[in-house]
Amino acid sequence: MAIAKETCYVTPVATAKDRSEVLQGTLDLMVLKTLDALGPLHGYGIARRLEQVSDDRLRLNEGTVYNSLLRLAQEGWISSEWGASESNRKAKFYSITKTGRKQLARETESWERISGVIGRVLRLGSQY
Amino acid sequence: MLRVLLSRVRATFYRSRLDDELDDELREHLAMLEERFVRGGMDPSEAFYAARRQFGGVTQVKEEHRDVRGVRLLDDLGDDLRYAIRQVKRSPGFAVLAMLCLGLGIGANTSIFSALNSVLFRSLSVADPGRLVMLRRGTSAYFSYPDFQDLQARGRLLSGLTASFPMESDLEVDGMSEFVAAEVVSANYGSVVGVAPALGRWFTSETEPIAVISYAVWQNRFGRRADVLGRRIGSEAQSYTIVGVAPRAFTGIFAPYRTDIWVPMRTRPTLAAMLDNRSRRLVMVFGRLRSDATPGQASAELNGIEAQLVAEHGASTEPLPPILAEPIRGIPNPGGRRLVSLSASLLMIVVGLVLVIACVNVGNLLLVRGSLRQRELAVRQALGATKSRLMRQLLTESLVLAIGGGASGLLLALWTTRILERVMPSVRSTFPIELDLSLDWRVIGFATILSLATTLLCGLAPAWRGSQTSGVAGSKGEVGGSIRRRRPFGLVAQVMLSFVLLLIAGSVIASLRQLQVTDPGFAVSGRLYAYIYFPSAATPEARRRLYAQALDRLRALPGVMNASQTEALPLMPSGTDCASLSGGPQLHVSTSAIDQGYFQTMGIGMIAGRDFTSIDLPRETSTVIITESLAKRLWPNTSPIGERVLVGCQTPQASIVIGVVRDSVVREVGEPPQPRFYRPFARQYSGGITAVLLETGTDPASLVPVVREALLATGHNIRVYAVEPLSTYIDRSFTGVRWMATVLSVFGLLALLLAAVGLYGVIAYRVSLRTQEIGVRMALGAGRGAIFRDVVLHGLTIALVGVVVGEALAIPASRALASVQAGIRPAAPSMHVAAAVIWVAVAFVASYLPASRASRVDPMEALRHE
Repeated sequence: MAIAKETCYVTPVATAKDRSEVLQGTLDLMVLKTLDALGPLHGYGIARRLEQVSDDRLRLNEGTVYNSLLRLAQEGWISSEWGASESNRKAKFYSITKTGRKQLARETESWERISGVIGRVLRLGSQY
Repeated sequence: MLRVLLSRVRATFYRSRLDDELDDELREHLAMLEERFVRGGMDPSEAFYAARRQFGGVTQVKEEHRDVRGVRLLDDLGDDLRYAIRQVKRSPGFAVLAMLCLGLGIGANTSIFSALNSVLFRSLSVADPGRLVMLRRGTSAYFSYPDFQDLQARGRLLSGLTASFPMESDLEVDGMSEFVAAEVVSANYGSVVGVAPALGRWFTSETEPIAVISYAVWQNRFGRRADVLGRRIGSEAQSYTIVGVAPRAFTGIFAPYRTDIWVPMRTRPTLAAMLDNRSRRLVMVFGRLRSDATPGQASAELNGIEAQLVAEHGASTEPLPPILAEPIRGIPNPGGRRLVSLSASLLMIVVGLVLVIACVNVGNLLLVRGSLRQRELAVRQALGATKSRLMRQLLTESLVLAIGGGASGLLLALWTTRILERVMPSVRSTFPIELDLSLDWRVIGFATILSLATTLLCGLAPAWRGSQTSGVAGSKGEVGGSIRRRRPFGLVAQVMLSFVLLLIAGSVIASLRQLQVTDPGFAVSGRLYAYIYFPSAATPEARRRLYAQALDRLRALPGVMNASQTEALPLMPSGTDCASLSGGPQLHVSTSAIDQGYFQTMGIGMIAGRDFTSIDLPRETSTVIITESLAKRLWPNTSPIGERVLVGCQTPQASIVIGVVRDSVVREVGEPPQPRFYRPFARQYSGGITAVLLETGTDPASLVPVVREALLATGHNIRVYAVEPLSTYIDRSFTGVRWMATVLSVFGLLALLLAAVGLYGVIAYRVSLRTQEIGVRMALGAGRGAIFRDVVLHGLTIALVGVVVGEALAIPASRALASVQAGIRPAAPSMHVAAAVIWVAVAFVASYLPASRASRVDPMEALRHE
């Protein structure tokens, strides 16, 4: 099952025009990549990281991260474990699994290809 | 995909734990967000809202989480089940009635299915029964012994092959003889079939006179004594030493037909003499597959060997179908399998109809309840339940009822199969049939599937109707509109089905009565018969003289008026032969060897000529007595007495007709007249077991001990088998029909009862719905009689329509029945009238109570509710 196949909007946010809406599959990919890059992390941490890397250009209801995590867990791409957060709160830590890494590699490759194609198509259009 | 589904299903079962976990997780997340905002300098109360804004709707997240996490249908099913069980608890009367109806239906089906199961599917209780195969060629399962030996010697894929010759035989223990089923088997039988004896051992040679007895024989004849090994028993002219007892669960390879003794292949002189002839196909062959071989591979190998054998010994005269090795399931004999499965399938259809009636009943009850619950359903719809959701909920409620019905049905089947086991008739022979009707996974699976099918059958219509509730009308509490408009298809169908079953049961009972009063052509009452045998006589002639002595002893007994003997009693398989006039076509007719005095003893009328006498013995030309119908066929216009008839198919010999007798039954009571000729016993006796017949002046049953004693006193190692009145014997031939009549009457009555209850229920309910309308009509001047008539007429109309439709179905149904069980004729017109009258009466009774209640409605009382 490919992540990018999903096309429904997760967060219909209309407040800030300069912020992009996030595709569900894209969010899954970003969460997976975050876990790959930073190691085990709780939902709050993932939300913070996404906020940080997107430089506030991405508008995201943080709650949707949890649905993304659930989807990834069902596929077996991530696993979870209860633990204590930095501030010593009870938190569930998610980490990427071996199959998750493989999937991430596949998805990254296909994402790059597709976004390249889309970029070219869009640049083509702007010549007129 | 599968992984996702599994995780979803798993999640369904940990629903509340997962919900709690998610709650914790989200709460902590929000708390951390708040903390962060507070650290950023925000006011705590402001931070609370800011955190929630940034997070998005908590409830939405949870809701979506739940949707993604579990299987929505499963979650709902759980809810529906809980709700349905509450509903059942709330109206236990309704639930018990519905479960009882379904339980009766499912129980009846399950018990008949377990009979079918044991005949068709159940495997033998031997080691690894799946690897035990039977060989056959087309519909024939018989092979010559030399062919068997060659297949055994050259085959590689079968680890062993064994041969069995099933036969009706006799068993003598301490001078008491009886007929039993025997298997004459090759020495490796026990090891190939894979059954260890409960006691002792199997065979090691094919010539040693030793025997293994069944558990039943051990129990009944030896009281399960351990010293049975080494005891001697007699069978045919042989004497055997018992070396083993079969385990209780193993009743022979022909189970459910029970085998009682096993003896080695070459211990029967008559069989042994034919055994080495490659053209005599005598034995059935069973084999055990190697663990790495399939039946298909084994069949291919066997056919290869067969081709070699044809090359070496020449082909048989007629072309043979290829050999097929098949795992053994149920009755191995194709003929018996067909017969038993046919009657069991017919019963399956009958009980299937009973179940349909039960389902319609429950369906009607559910419809009634559905219309009472319209308000509740409308509320649920108003709260956002979709139609399909309501339908699922209603179907779940029928599922709960069906599961209850299925469980009670299984309990019922546990009990009824025990009765069935006891009354199951032996199928047209002395081979006792012993069905293993215990519940196995197939039976339980069948009951489960049946319950689910029942859910759909009885729940679908009510669920559909219930889900179509219009929100507005329902919430106003208007009930009954729908049921009044509904045409009573269900009721008509019930009446129709039960009418057909009544008719079928009636015609079987009538046929049984008819059989019992049919004149078989000979006298049945006041006659006694006994099968006797002299095993130690050296020649047939010596044996015949011993028979003559025994007959003389019997004639001398007080109370015995006539005595004679024959090789085959009527209804026993007798020989056939050809009869023709010189130059004319050959007629295949049955023949019997009878001693003088037979016709007189049996009360068969002599039309012309005379009986055999001793002068018929030494004559050059043989003499015959022919039946009326044969006389008419051969000499339509002249008297046959003194004429010559050619007897025999290959080399016809001339015989002189010395007498013509009335036709009598040959194979079964009720058959059309069978042409037959009789030859003198003295000339024709072949040396086998013989039946002596006595005409008694008194009750034949009272003479049984005297006759047995007199016969035993004859000495010469006489074996005396059955001694019983001829009427008992003839009556036994009706067992099949009688069994069918009993079972069909039980199911017919059950169906009638269920349908009557259904009719009563619906009519009573209609009356209770129409109380107000009746009140209004009465207030407007309608008489109580008119109201009463109205309700009763409604019931009668349903019954009459059902009867008329049923009438159209009954004719093909009774024809089908007649083709399954000989001796059953389609129902007489009077039977149709009787069944119709029964239904009209039942409909009257079922609508009488509601009608009288309707006519007693107090208009004031009824209108006050308005």
